[in-house]
Amino acid sequence: MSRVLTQREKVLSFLVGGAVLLIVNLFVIDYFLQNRTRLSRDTTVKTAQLRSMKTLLVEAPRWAKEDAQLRATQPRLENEATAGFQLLNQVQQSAAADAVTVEQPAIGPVERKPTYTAVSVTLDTKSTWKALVLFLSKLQAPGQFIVVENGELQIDQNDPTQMRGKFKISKWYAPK
Amino acid sequence: MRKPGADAAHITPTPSGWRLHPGGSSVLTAPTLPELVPTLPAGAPVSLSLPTYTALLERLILPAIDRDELSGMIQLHLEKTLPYPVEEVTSGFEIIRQTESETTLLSFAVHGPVLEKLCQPLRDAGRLPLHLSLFALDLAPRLPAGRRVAAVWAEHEHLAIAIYEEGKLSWAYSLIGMDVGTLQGDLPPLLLTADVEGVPTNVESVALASDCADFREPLREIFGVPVDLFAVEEVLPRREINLRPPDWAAAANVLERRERLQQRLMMGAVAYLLLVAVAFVYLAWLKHNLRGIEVEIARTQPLIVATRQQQDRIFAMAPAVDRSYFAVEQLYLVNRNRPPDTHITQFNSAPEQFTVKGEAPDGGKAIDFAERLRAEKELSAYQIESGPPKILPNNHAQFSIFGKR
Repeated sequence: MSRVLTQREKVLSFLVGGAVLLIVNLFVIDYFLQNRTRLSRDTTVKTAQLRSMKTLLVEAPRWAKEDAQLRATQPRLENEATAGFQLLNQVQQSAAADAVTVEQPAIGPVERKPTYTAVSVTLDTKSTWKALVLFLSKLQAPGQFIVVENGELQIDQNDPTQMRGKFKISKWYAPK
Repeated sequence: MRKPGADAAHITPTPSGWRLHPGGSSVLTAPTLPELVPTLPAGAPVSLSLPTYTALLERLILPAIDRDELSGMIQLHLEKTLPYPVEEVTSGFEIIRQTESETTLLSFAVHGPVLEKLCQPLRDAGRLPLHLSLFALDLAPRLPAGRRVAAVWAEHEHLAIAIYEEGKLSWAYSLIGMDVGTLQGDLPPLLLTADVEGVPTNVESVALASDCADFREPLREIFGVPVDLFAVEEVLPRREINLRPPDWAAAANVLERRERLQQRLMMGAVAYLLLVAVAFVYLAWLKHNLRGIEVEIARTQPLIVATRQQQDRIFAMAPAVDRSYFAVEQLYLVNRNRPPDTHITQFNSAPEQFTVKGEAPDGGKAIDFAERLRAEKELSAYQIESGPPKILPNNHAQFSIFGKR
């Protein structure tokens, strides 16, 4: 059975109703702001990501071409056992052609990397500055895939016209 | 809340209930007010014609004075004659005739509690009438002007008889019952009494409600004049008469304020809900946009992965194919930037870095060598670092420069 509310009951009901409305409102506003912030932030991050991806895609044909060229020209390792000797021979022949004396040559272990298989040799050299430069420039000519992994050059203490060098030289074959 | 310009809903009595003139629609009837209330048009102001039996009608002859004084005299008269306080009464009067010496008028009064009881269903529905009139008064404009006419109609199981002079209600009475016998038995003595009281009962014609055609012949016999029918459903409350109690106006104001507040709250709620809806639509739009970007990223990802793999492979192979990584290139660039009289005593090389050690004629030349290497465009991929040169006993400077990608 319904009855008319007194003034105090009306005020109380308005207060309770207002408080409930306020709390609900706070929840709604909080939900909205949190979601808006998250969505805006994600949109900014993803837009930047997409922009960088598109920039990369513009360059994609060039990378594809270079990669294809690399794959086509990189030498293949036919025989792991003889590759070290072949490299050492190549280095010694080149050194001899440029009047570079090779000392203490040694064949290093084969190293396997995701993008190449490295066959290396270590050796010491003695030569003039000019001969050494010629030797290195011929050795690392384009298409040879020869890398000077480590090279230490210094003037010979006994003969300042001569350079002494210690090298680790590798040839990077296509990975198996 | 009343809509501005909304047609008024008029309620008039019928022989066995109420009639609603919704204004613009066809007439509806119902046996009781509670049954009629739901059919009231929303927002339309309500006006109600009271049946004759609810009012106390009295024909008075007073001195020829102005209206205000007449009103005061009628008030005094009501105080003396009414069996209840005059404050409980809503009253009015209509001047029938005025001469130099006297005024003949009809006073009418309605008892507040009677009105309250009658209109309670309307109050309960929040549709208290804005305007209350008396059906007998409302009928006057429908009758032939300038003639003395008797009118008969039925309302709420009563037979109402009224006499009009010059288009004004002159006298009215309500008989209990609606049968011909009641009419034939009670009307002649009633007219005789009225005649004695000075009411001109020698009417020129009789107007009979269209829904009481059965009384036509008996009335012709009683009055001996022609009996014409009037369309009872066309009688509407007269605006110039309002018997609404003053406290109803206050109640109506409160009701109106409440309705206005409710409407404003409703509009506020609608606006709020709209705002919430817009906010959620905005969130949905943001989400949709984000989803679109994610879809495009997902679609582009395989191409990107392939390109990155190609890139990584090319970068990893750079020491074998890119001249800028070659020892001879490093040596060449270092030598090209060597200041005169500066000697390199040691050079260490690896694809990603190099170290130069040497001796310069003085500290300035040693520092200059490092600066030249830093400025060399083709060595820009290297971060060049050099410590302070060491001054030797012969004033020469020993230096060490380190470059790293």
